[in-house]
Amino acid sequence: MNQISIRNSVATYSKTEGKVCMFKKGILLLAILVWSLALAACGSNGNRDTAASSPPASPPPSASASGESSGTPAGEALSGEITVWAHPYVSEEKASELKAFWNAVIQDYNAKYPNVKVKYEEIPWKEREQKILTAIASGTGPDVFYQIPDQVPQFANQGVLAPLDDYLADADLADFNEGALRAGNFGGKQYALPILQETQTLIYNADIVKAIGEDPAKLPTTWDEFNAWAEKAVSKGYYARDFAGAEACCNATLYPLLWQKGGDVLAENGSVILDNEAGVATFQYIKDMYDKKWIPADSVSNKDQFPEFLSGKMMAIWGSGYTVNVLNEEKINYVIGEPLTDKVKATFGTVGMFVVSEKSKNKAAAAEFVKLLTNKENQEAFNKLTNYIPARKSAGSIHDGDEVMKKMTEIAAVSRPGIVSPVARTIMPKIQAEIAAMLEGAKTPQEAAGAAAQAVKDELAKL
Amino acid sequence: MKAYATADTANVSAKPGLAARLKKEWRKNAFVYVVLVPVLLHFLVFQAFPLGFSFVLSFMDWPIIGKAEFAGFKNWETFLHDRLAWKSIGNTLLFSLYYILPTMGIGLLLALLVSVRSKLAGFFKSVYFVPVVTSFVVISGIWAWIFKGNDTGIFNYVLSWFGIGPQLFFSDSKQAMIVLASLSVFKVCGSTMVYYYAGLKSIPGHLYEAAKIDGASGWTMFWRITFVLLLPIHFYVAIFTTIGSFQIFDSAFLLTSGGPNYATTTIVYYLYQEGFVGLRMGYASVLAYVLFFIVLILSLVQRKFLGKEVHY
Repeated sequence: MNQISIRNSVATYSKTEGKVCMFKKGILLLAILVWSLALAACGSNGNRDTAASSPPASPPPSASASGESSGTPAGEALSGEITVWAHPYVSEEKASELKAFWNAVIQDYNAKYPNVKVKYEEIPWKEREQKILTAIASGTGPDVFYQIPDQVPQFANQGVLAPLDDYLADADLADFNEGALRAGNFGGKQYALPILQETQTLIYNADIVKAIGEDPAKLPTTWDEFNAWAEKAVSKGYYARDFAGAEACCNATLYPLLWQKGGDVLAENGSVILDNEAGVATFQYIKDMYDKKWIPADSVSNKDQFPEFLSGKMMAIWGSGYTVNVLNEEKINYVIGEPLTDKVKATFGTVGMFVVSEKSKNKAAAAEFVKLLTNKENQEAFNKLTNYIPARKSAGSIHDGDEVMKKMTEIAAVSRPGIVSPVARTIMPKIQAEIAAMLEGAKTPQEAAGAAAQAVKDELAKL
Repeated sequence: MKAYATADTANVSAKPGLAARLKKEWRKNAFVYVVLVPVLLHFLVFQAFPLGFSFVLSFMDWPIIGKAEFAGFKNWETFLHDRLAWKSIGNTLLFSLYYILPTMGIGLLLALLVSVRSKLAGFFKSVYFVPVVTSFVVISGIWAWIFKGNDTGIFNYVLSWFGIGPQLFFSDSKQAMIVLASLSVFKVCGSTMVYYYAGLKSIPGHLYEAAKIDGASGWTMFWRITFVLLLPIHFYVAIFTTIGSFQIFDSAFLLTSGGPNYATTTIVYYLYQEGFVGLRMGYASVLAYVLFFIVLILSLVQRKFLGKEVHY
């Protein structure tokens, strides 16, 4: 009833006051709305997190003279603009030092290539996956960005990374750690240059080691030695080590054990060897650890057993440089162990690399930037600041004064970057599921290894 | 007025010109249309277009960062034979079972509690609503802490008072889904409480008076009057909890990563893995459309059984 009367009055209004008036108001409203929409569209384009761009005002550049002559056309010939995406590699307190590092690198670069404008953006860690995917898909991506070993083969396989081989004649590739360089190699082409390495190993609680009657200065180096210690620890009521079966699978849990046993997921020729003798033996070892209570009962799906270690319930934890920082803060007596050997001495260590986008309009300039960024001086500066391990052998001495980091640097020499394959990321939840099924008792180690191998084969077939 | 009526009856077989009708419509409702434009644009760009594009994508092979290739029915065929996809649908149905009825039941219970005339009713209404407005990530963190799978977990500690040994919760493929569902129930029951509360308030009081005169007990009054007259609310709450339950993703992603052994891989989680980690958007679109059809059918079924008009 109410609606009809309103409509009647409106109709009356427009008839008596003039149809033109109503029409004009409609047009005016429409114009305002369109204008505000346009403003909103333009506004969102202008928002960028720009941490530094060139040329900034900062202290004079560090000597970029490694005596290299450019393998590309003369420095002055490169021009245009390149966008570099990187991440907050340090905590808030050191953010300004990181900014200074980037400013110095860009200034170095412009000293060599004054006609190239470098635009640097810092992307938070959390958003980087989505940002890079959508940026590449829409063609607005950066020229240079950061990747880790699980991503490089996947992206290279899709053809979105530019091979750098043409520009690497003078990059002194032999100076890089072998494992680190391999992480950026796919199909025989080098797609990335590494800037940092992080390595992982067992870190022991020195107090617990003493409590079980062993000497923290003589840590186990082989599986047999470790197993003996584990038995003692469990008999005294501790856990022997951690096994974060969820998130950390498989780089930090299965793979190091598999490699130490002399096995791997893929052989050199690309065939799946996860369920060979070494593979099954590794699965068996994990099941034994679980049954003998060397690892906590919730290892099946636990993401993080660090609290158990911090509260003194666990003899050893699988950790990295970051773990050490926390242990220092918590004032726990720890000792860093060598990677164990069963057949092979090996461990996992991620590699941070910079790549060039295939869609870049300035590949030569971008490649030169990556080369400069990963040269000896910049690796030293970067890793000193971020407390990672340099990927170049010549830069390895920066941590000599710090016993812990020196040890980590040595361990980095036997670190492997994971499984270098486009299916590296997609197989992990599948292998993790088989390990979980095995630990729950639903499958024998043989069946679990076989099922995991089949899952890897299925993923490879989808490529 | 009279001339208009004549023109209308004269042209009863032939409609008035389209231009004339449009002009009349614009003059009458110009304001409405102008306000609708941004809303419609938003709908077109962010809802209608992705919906259509997804359907197109399900026939293609698109790795997001690479080229899109036409794949015909390959993705749909893969779906039919994909054991894990069917398992994820099964998991999602299981989750719905653990989630829908408890959410509605507890919501109704809470609504009954806060509709008691007491000074504290308002306070408790807010308390019960707090989980709804708390961040999902925060509640997931709390749940991970409470349901830790060894004897240091809080829930296990409470169970030990009753002599029950430590449960594995997220590490047990049979318990993981129940614990996840309980998290969602906890989070959403505040909003179902609000809907039921509104429904309770709209039931005319004279019905209860009449029932009391007839000698009905509280229990009878609840089941014969309250519960029945809440039918439109039941319908609405059932629909939105069903739709929500089939879209469950956050807790699987944050707490269990779809495990253990795929026990908590729901269809949206699987879709995410395939599309954004595996870079197989075509197949992920197929999964999305399967989800769409399931929810559509369920909604239609619910409408048939619960959507009847209510007569006081």
